[in-house]
Amino acid sequence: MVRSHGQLTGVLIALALGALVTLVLAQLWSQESIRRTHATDAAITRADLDGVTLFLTTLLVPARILTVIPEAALRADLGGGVTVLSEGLRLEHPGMTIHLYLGRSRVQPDAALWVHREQFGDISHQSLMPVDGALSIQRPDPETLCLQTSDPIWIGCHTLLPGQS
Amino acid sequence: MMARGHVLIAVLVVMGALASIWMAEFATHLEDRVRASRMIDRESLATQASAAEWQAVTTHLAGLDSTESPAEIVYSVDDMLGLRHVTLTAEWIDGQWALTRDKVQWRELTVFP
Repeated sequence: MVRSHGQLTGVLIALALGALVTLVLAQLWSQESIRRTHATDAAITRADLDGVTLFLTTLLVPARILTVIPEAALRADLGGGVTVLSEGLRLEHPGMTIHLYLGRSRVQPDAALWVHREQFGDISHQSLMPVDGALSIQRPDPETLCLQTSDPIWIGCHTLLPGQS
Repeated sequence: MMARGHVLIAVLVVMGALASIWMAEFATHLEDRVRASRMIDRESLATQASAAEWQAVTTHLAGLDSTESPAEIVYSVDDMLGLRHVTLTAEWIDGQWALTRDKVQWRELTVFP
């Protein structure tokens, strides 16, 4: 009887320990899955930023004139139907004008970085990536132009090339 | 003896679980570092391409005479996207060369520089 009682106690202790270990592991897995969700989110944002960095090069390198334009002038340039939330960058290419700005649209109500392209009357208007924070365009020196977003944190700088102003 | 065996199995299970979590963490860190370093490499290639463009223009302008104005300058540089082929017009205005960027073409565009 005493031995049986001792065995029961042992089993109960083993079960309690097993449950505790399972609980600790479940907690660890749960934390890990939350962390992984954040990491995946961050990886997607980073992929967006890498894509934008590469894409902007194809817009900035062939440009002849790069101008930082204030919000009001940008609205006037783009016309109605476009919600502008920041100052923008106007890139003048041979036969094409591109505006880069932070804004919203009817289709995409969340703020995003937009590229508005007009070439011989044809217009394309596309969003590059969602941006929750602000966009600022700075010229730290006459030869450099930097675009910066606060959320996601990103900065992309362009050094003026021969023939660009 | 049997109890020891059970404890050993339990310890191995816990260690296995912790090891799998640690490995996943390590793999994520490694991927982050590889991606970041690849992007930094690309950005430094873009910076080098800018410097190469200015170098090419300086070399061309040094060989030009003001009587040849307007002159066409053509050069190619490697950048993070491929071979950048640039055509400029140089005009001698008020004692100095004024440059106009006429055309930029990327040739041999690469997906994985």
